[in-house]
Amino acid sequence: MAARLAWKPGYEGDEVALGFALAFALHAIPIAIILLRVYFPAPNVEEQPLVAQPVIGATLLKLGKPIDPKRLPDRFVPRQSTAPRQQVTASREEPVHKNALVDAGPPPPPDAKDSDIKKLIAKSDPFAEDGGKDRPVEGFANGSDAGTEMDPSKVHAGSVYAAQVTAFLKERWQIPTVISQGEVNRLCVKYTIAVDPRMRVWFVQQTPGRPSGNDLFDDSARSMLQKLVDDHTALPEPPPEVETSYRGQRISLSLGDGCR
Amino acid sequence: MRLSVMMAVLGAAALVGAAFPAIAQQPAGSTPLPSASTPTGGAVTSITVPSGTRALFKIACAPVVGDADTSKTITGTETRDFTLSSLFQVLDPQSFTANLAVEGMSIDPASWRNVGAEGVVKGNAAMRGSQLHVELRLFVVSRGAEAVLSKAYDVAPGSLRSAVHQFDNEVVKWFTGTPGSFGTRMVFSATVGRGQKGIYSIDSDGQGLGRLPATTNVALAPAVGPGGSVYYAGGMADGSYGLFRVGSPVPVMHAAGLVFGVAFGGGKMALVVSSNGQSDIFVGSPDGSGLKAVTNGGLNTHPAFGPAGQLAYVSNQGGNPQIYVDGKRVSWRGTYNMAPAWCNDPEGTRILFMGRDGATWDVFSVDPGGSAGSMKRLTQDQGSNTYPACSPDGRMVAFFSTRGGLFTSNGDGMNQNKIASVTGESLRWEGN
Repeated sequence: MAARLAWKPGYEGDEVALGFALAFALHAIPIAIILLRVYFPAPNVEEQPLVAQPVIGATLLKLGKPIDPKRLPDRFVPRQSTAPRQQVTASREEPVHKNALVDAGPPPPPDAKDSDIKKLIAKSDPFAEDGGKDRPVEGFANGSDAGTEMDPSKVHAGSVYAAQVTAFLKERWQIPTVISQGEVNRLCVKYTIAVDPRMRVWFVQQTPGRPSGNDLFDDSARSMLQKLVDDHTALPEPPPEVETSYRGQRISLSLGDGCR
Repeated sequence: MRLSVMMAVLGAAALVGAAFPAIAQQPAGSTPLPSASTPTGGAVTSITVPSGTRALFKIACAPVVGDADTSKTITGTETRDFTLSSLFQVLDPQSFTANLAVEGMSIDPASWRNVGAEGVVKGNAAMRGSQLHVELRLFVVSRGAEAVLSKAYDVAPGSLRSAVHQFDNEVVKWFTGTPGSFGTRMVFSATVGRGQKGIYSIDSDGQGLGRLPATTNVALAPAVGPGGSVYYAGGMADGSYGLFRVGSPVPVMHAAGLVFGVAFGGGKMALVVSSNGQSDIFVGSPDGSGLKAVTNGGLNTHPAFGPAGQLAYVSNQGGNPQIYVDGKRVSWRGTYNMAPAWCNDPEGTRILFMGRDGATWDVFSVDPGGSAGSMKRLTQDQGSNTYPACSPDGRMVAFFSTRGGLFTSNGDGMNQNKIASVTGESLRWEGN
């Protein structure tokens, strides 16, 4: 006689009932919400015409205490900074240890398109087409028209290094006070320099590529650059990402607040 | 029971999770950096460098070939003028290493560049009859060995400083486009005894201090009028005050009241006339004709004409003494401002004045329009500084200081130099 095993549920009756109730509620509530939305949609709110409201005058806020009209202003005395000069870090990695990235290669010659067409014509290929139709523009939307670099890391390193060179030259450039500040703000002079592979300036253009119109201003800029040549002073070391653009190359400098 | 509860919790969590959108990470902001660009084909990287720091133009005043005393006078006058101008740094002659004898009246630019000179002034002087022939040259080292400015003067030996001032003005003009104010003079009144005041004149570099002959024992508020004549308000025997001119024993004007001040400019004259406890300003022709009151009661004093004929003065019509220009108040801070003087600063016309700060006075400047925030302080915590005056070219400010004399500075109150050990009041600079 086979023994009959008695089935004994794992849950009590009330527990099973509670489970069913919860499961029903979890499914029924969203369904009810959806049905309500379908059968009782929200009324369309008609667009109200714009009503002109009076404009409340606002003043720009300026930090600080209110000015006491009885109190006279203090004298402004410029003080020379005694803090050490801040150095801009051009690259987080040691230039000698960093693996050279794959270079984008030299920029294409300016007449590359014409050359291709000429080659095609020379081959008398009747199917050669002038690439005149619009094609997707390569590069970045916020990039420079004249830029050729496609690697954002290189572009960033180049910008940081440009800031470093800018600070290097700016702190050495002294503009005589015989030129009024108002005139200095308007002037811009262009010189071309050449640096050797060790980043030492070995050549300075004697006449400016574009004079500012004030000979003293131009002289002060050229004297600063000439002193770099005379003292065999080297420009800051460029990061490896951009060193091919600087090391042993010519650099065109636009000097002055009027260049901006 | 436990399983159902867990399922319910999981189901609810799923619903809640579906109800909330994912939170997107915002990219961190980045600071724009200057950029270098490499144009295609040219392979020349270009960098833009903003203007560098400002520095005084380093100039060397080389000893003049000729008599030692003459050379000393010339180089001394040059050095003083250039130093006071706030435009130049005069190099110490001890630092000169150039071989002056070999150079003659030219320069070796490399040699002067080595000692840090950016400009060099050279000259020679010799007697020609009763006249002293002086030849002075300016060299700019970056311009090469040839002089950029060369002038010759034939003067009486006693007028040597005047010739050098002329040359120094030409030097400033060569650099800035407008001549300097060297060789001009200032006038002021000062106490000469108990209850007595006299009129004094002094050169712009602090030399040539002298008392001008005044008819009266009390001479106040001098001003330089047409033809360089000095006018002043003088007390007369009957107790009234009239307008006198230096050299004239009788008053040139005696108004119905007390004349307490005068100013000339723009082809006009302004006169301060006091009566019945009030003082008003009258404006008319320099000869005293056509005078009409431009103020209406109260205390109105210290007139001064601007470059376009505007009239600045002090008035208490607002409750306490403040600076006004053509009836419009321009000083809006402080409780007692007075003694306005116009300054034709190359960066823009300003009005100098003295303001009382507690127990002391200091020198301030403000835009003629009185724009908010345009008031600047030129002196502070440097004793009491009073009665500012401005040079005709607008580059130098003079004022009296309790530090013991007459001081000059630039328009910002920098490069303060004591040029004479004399104090007074109502300082006026000829030509301004």
